Amino acid sequence: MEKLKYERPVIRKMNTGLMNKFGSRIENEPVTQIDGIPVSSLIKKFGSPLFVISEKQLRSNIQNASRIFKTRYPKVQFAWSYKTNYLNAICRIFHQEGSWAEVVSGFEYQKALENNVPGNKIIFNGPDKSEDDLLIASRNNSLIHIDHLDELLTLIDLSDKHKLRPRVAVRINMDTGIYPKWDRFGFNLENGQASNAIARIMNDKNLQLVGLHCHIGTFILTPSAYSVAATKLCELARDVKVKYGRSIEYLDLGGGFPSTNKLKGIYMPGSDTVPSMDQFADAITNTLLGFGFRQDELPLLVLETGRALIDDAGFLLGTVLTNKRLSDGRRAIILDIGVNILFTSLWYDHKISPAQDSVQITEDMVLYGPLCMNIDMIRESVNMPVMEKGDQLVVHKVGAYNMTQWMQFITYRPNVVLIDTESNSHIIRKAENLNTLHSMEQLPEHLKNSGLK
Amino acid sequence: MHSIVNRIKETILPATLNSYSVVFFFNNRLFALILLGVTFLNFVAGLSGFIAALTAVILADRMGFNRTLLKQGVFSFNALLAGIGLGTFYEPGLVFVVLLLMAALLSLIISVVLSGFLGKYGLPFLSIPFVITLWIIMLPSAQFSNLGLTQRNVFWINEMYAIGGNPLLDLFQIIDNLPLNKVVIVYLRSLSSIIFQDNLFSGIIIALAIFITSRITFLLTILGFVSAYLFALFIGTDMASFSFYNIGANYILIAVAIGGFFTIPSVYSYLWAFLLVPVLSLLILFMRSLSGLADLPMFSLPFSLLTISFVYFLGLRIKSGKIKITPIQHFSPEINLYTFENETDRLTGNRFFPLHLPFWGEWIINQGYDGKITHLGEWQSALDMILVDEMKNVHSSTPFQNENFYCYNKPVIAPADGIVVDIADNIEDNEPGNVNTKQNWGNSIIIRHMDGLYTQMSHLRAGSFRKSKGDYVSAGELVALCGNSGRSPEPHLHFQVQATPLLGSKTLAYPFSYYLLRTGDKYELKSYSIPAEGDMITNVTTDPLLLSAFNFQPGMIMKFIYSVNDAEKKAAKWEVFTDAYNNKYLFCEESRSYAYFVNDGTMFYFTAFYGDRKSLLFYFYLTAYKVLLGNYPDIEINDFFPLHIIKRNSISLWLHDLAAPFHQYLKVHYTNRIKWSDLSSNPACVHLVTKIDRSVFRSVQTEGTGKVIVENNRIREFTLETSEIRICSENSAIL
Repeated sequence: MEKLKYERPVIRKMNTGLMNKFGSRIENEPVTQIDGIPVSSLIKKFGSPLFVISEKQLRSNIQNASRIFKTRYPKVQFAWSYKTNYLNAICRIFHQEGSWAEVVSGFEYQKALENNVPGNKIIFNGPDKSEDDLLIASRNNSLIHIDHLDELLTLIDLSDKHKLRPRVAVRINMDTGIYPKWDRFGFNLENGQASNAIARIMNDKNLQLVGLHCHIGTFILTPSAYSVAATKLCELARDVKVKYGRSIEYLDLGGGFPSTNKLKGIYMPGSDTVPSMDQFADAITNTLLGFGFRQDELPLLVLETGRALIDDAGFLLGTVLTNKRLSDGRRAIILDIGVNILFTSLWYDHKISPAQDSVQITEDMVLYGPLCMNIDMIRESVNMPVMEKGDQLVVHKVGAYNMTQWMQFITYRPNVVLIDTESNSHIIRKAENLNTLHSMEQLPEHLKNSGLK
Repeated sequence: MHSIVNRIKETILPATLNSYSVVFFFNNRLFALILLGVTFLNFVAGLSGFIAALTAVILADRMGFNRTLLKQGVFSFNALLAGIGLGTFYEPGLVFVVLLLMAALLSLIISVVLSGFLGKYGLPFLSIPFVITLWIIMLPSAQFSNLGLTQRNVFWINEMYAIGGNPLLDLFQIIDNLPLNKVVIVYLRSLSSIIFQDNLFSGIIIALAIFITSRITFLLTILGFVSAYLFALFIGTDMASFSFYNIGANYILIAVAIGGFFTIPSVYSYLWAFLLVPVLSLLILFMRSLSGLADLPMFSLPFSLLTISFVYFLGLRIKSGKIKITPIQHFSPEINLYTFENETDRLTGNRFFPLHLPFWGEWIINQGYDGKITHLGEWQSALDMILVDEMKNVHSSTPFQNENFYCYNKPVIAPADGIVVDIADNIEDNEPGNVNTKQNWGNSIIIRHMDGLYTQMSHLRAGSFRKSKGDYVSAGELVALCGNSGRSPEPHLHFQVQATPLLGSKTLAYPFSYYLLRTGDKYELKSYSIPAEGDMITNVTTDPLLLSAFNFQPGMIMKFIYSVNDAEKKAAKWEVFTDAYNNKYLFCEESRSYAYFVNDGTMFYFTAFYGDRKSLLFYFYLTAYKVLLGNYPDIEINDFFPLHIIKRNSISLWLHDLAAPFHQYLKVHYTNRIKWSDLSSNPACVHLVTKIDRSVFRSVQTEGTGKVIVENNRIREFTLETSEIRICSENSAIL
């Protein structure tokens, strides 16, 4: 018989307050494997910490979203938001599933080209496009979403000078009744900037206005906001048609659909509070179908959903470095996962599961990262079984933004592994090492001698 | 004056010539000229035949009979035969000429009258008028003392000498004395007996002319003759008995008529031809005994009677069996065969009203036609459709309620333009697992698309209708939402086509015009098919650019500047017309070429080409033979050209003609796909590439490649390159 695990005694404060009407939550089911591969063997093979992405979940997400929209509306196109996760393997999975690329910088644009995305299937967003970027995008027939007047003027000059006919859309910001109002991107609808920009485009002989774009915010929890946004875009498209006789080919409703992660400050788990993708789809497609476009002039609906498609396909595996008690009696566990690689822990209460069978007794505790920084805290308070050095755990729903916003700090960034649909694991981004970092550094001649002997 | 010349050129000349070729069921100038020449070997007979035919043609033309039939020689070939017959039997003279003209008139009258009687049943009259005419003249002729029977036939050598002098006579005699098999001799004599001659020389020329004109007809003449010969051996009649007069010709003609003219040449038509000959033989023996009483020769009467009866016999079948009646007569067994094969595959769409799938996105058929659950009896031809996720689940995990079924609440759209004739509403959805058998169909909508064509969609959600009774709906318009009402244990969409506007009518098996079928991650374009159970299907989305570029409306004129083999540039002008049957065609005045096409809103395709095969229009026909009007770079359009259009009078085609009724080993494939487009949705410029391949048995060889560039809502340019020719052309104007 195996030796039973030692359970250290715990003194727990009795809570005599209100009963929790939701009952006790079982959040500590151990997650021992991902898509059929044991967590322990993944860590053994690829090290800890380790990002793991499930291709199966990823494809399922995009197929699901695609079905949800395409069965409600005849013309739908998804564009993969590169900034959400631009590891090439990930982008290519999306492209294989038919998504275009949505990029916001020259770097991302190049990345899309390297991923063999045809120029005409790249949507170029964002406030920072250099003249070179605009030129390349115009030559490739990409869809340039104009963000501000200076960009518009630059593009007008460039197209005149280089005899180009860029296909453009106007990024619109508007009041959809949600807070915070995103009015820093694009042209404002209510104060007339948008129609001013459109007038300039329509009066230019080179620029072709093909689309209208808005992106009302991020992690939006009210589907009706999309309905408002869609209505306003439809109205604007109709105005363009009436005024200039030009049909707008597509309406880009941007992204902003939430994942089922739990935002800090929200009591209920994400899966209970977040509206389903169906509700967002209903809000948008009902508006478009009901607006009164002629059947053959229905605009293409473009969606730049990022987070909602990838968050739950990403996992971060880590290992307990030690545990200790804090001065106020709370238990603290130190992990090898720092906020530098789990950026989203700043705004989510990530669900974290032990990766092995553990004791039944749970305790409220703080989860700290390994950095020598006070801010390095993954969860401020979480009820988990006590874990010891060497125990492994799984952080859920980390697919979005972490692998693009992470920082190299104090230590190296870890491997990223993709588990394909046949449960084979592939490294899709190698962990950094000293050479990676040194390769970018240069020493001036006078510093080559460090001085110490 | 000009109009008379025109009249002669346009009608009289072709009609007179075709009187000759139609005797062998052709419509071919060369054959007509050869046969005309052969009839003149008996000068008087030849001349009187020509005069009779010409007389009948002029009369028919002046009196205003159907010009199409007239030009095919249908009204005048009996006069021709009667004329040859009279010229063969009687001595020329004034009385003879008058009789000849009367014979021409008589055979025209009988032809027209018979065409009126038999035409109603779609039947031919063949050479019955000729037989009757000749009888009418021959029987009383003994009493015409001024009309003398000729003896020229006996002294044919004199006759021959008079026409061609010694050389012809020598040739004639060499041929007549060729050491040929007796059967071959009888065969050749039988052929010549069709024009009232009895010699090998004419027989050989006619046989060669037939072979040059049609290999299938040639093979059939032999088939008919061999069958008759074998039957004669079997029964034990004398060989000579069927070479007497034109009795042998009867066998040859019935084989040609049944084996390759009135039916599409095939193993079965050949078999029937082979089997009918002995039947004809019986009929001949029977009629010979009968007509002998009246002292009348039968000529081709037995052949005519049996052929007409058999064509009628075939036409009365309820289902077309293995032997097919020629739907459109091209007066060539080869063309009949190649166009039939081609059109049965290609032109299915003409017979159906185009219906689209009644939903957006990809759905799956969970009960198809003759489904085991509810698609039974009179309601067998219905489809049940649902949505599934990538794991093939029909609903998301929990709980088990309508809202969690993927298809619940999803848009249901009009499958085609039409008028809403009925709506049943206000029936509550069932809880999953329960059925409402009292209101079997649940909430339903019935749309009338045309007379006798209605679609019904059922089990919809109560109160979800976006249209009311009497509303006009256009294809693809949202009409209601999928629900779970009526006899429906789980949300699904029931779709059926029916002939009446009543809810729950008997179903009609009816295909969808076009849709995409997915297997794994491959999409296949299905046209005019009925999806089967388990099929994952999506509508085809058309592309506005391609739609407008191939939208050729009557009155539109297109001008092209083109060069052949990089030679100097030439101009071509096409105009779009519609004919009386509402078929559209492109017409090139200069080359007198016609290219018929169909644009059904999803596919553009040519259906036929007539005219100059060196014209730009023909090259366009080859390049844009079939084009999908949607932007699907992964979908390749495959088709076949009718063989006779591509390969004309080549040895390889002639060889193939002989085998074609049994097996067609030669094929000309056409493939077309989008090679490049500047945008995947709403592109401004699309490049289509065409490949023309020839396959002989299994070996495939590229014949040519082409390209069509579509820009600015029109066809900007197209090129076609084969081993022989290189065409570059650019659209210069559209008016």
